[in-house]
Amino acid sequence: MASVNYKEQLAALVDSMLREGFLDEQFTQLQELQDETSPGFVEEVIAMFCGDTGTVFNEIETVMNQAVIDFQNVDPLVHRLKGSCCTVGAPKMKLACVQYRQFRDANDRQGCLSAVNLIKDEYNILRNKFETMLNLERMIQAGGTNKPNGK
Amino acid sequence: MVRAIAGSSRRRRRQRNFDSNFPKGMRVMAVDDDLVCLKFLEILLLHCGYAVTATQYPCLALNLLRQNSDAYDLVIIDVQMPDMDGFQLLESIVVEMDIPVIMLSIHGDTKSVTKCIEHGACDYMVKPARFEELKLIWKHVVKRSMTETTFEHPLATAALPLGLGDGSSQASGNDHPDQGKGKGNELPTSVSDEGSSLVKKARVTWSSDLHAVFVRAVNTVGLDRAGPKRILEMMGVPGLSRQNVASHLQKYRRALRLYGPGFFNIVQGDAGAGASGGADTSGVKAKPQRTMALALTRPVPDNGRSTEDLRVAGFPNNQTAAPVSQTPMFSLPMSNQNALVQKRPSTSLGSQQTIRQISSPSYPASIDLTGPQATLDYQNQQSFVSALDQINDFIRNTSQNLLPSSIPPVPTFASGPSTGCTTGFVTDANSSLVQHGNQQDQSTTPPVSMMSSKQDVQWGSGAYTKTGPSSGAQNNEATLNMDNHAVAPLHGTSYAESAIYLSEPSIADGTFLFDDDNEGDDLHAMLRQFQNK
Repeated sequence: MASVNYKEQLAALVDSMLREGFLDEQFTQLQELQDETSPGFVEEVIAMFCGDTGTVFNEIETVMNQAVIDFQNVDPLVHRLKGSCCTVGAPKMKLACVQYRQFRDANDRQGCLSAVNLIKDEYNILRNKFETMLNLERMIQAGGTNKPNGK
Repeated sequence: MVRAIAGSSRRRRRQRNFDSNFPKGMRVMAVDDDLVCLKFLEILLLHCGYAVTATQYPCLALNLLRQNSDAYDLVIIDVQMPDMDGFQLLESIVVEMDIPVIMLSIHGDTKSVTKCIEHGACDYMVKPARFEELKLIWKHVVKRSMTETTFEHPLATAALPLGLGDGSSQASGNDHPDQGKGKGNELPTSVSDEGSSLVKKARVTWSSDLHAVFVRAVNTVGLDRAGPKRILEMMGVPGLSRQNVASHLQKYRRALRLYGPGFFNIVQGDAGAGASGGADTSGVKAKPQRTMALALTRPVPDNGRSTEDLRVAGFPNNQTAAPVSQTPMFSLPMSNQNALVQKRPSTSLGSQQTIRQISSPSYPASIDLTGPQATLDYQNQQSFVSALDQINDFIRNTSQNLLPSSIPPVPTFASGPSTGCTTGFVTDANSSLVQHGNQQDQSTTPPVSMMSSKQDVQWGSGAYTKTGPSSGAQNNEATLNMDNHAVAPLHGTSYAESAIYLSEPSIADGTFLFDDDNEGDDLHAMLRQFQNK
């Protein structure tokens, strides 16, 4: 890649995530809320999301590692995840949370297990993309939007 | 005799000025245990022009409101919170302070909404909150103001601006019989402030003493036979209207019906106090009211966490919320409060764009961003990864200041020999991702330290410098002060520290039932080790 513009890269990444359904218009709204009064807002929210969700998954793991999984203990955690991913604009992860709820309502333990794993997987994908996004943001902030100087 | 005059220790009639900028500067408290949602809500509220106090802790919120309910016009509460049920907080606020409360939830079904309204919420929102809705929440404050002003202050209602009130026509000629009990010359001066400003709502604050008087009157009359007028006569509190008593009686009855006589004890974390009189709901006995009166003056226990956080965190001006026994900063009048809080430099939002976020460092101060790409546990999703790999590779190849390791992967919930879980869950044939070879991560990385990296995040020396202490942001307990916006949340402390801090409250204070024989739990393993010695 001869000429790279970090901002363009970031925009392309966000566009692709929107197209592929990893992000939705809620994320667009987050971007619109970022202005001179809250300059690092999106970055902050993404960082919060990653940190907070990671913690929740730790707790989920604790519950899931028990001999007999009590999904009642998983419920509030997934509920929390659903709130976070709704707010950040992550429809795939939200859908996985909804599926968990459906399996729970149907008392389908196997389904619940698969749903939890699906939530986790969606989160991992999302997290990876968010990492890239944050990296790009950082590049933009550090070096401006110019092309990299062959560093 | 209990006098219901401003300044009386028994009951305060709140004076709230709707100034000419209203609803800008309206003071909103937001309570949500989810940091992401809280942050988003906070920003939206600020964009609406409100003054925001945001906290993750319902207990802390309740304490703040009790210390100075005058300082807040409206409260927004998440329905589902681990520390305190949103409905309990709602009821407490409605009964004790009568501040309009809006509930917030991810569920939007009829049942949930109905339940919230029945518990006293004035409105209901589905997450994520929408800017268009938040722009109009001030109407609840005005509506509440009009409802109470109508019956109490004929002079005040006469000053109501035109076009606002359905209640004003009622009120202007109102000669409520109960007014004879009160003294006309007791009207606070601010209420007579006419002109373009909205008339203040003289909100009745049901202090513990006043409530005790109320309950005594109810007991004497009999809960089932009690009517507002009779209770009002028995209470003999000048300035109190039948309407006040009626609405309070309604809430009281509802609280008793829903939660039983022990409601106030439970809400205040005093669940062990058996003095509530047990399940006797046929009539409220003297014991419950005494306990309730005492309990109401006691600060709500917050698991010892939130006040600690406040002390350690340091607010924007290194001020912390004082314990109940002291005069807290939050009891200062609004103008002083503004002075204490760093304002966001904004030309568009006005001078009242202040925010205090009272949060704990409940998410890691630094995000660990390095880490081998191979830790991805979904390698069979190559199509999604490959493009990113190219970008990541390019960044790594071209950048000199690589960020530290990435966020450690969340372990796969797979069964397998390395996990030590046998019957807990079965390898799901559908979940091919589950089968992935991430078991090594799971086996070697204990849960609590899953996210620890020991490295600080170096965000560069630009505007987003996040290492080292910055003004007002101490440790990793981020008070998300707007001026430290870029700094506070991603402070340069050890990820391990923040992770542990983060994990402990979450797990220890959670409502989860952990099996003591959990093989995979390092903490329990350690405990067993000591026990076996």
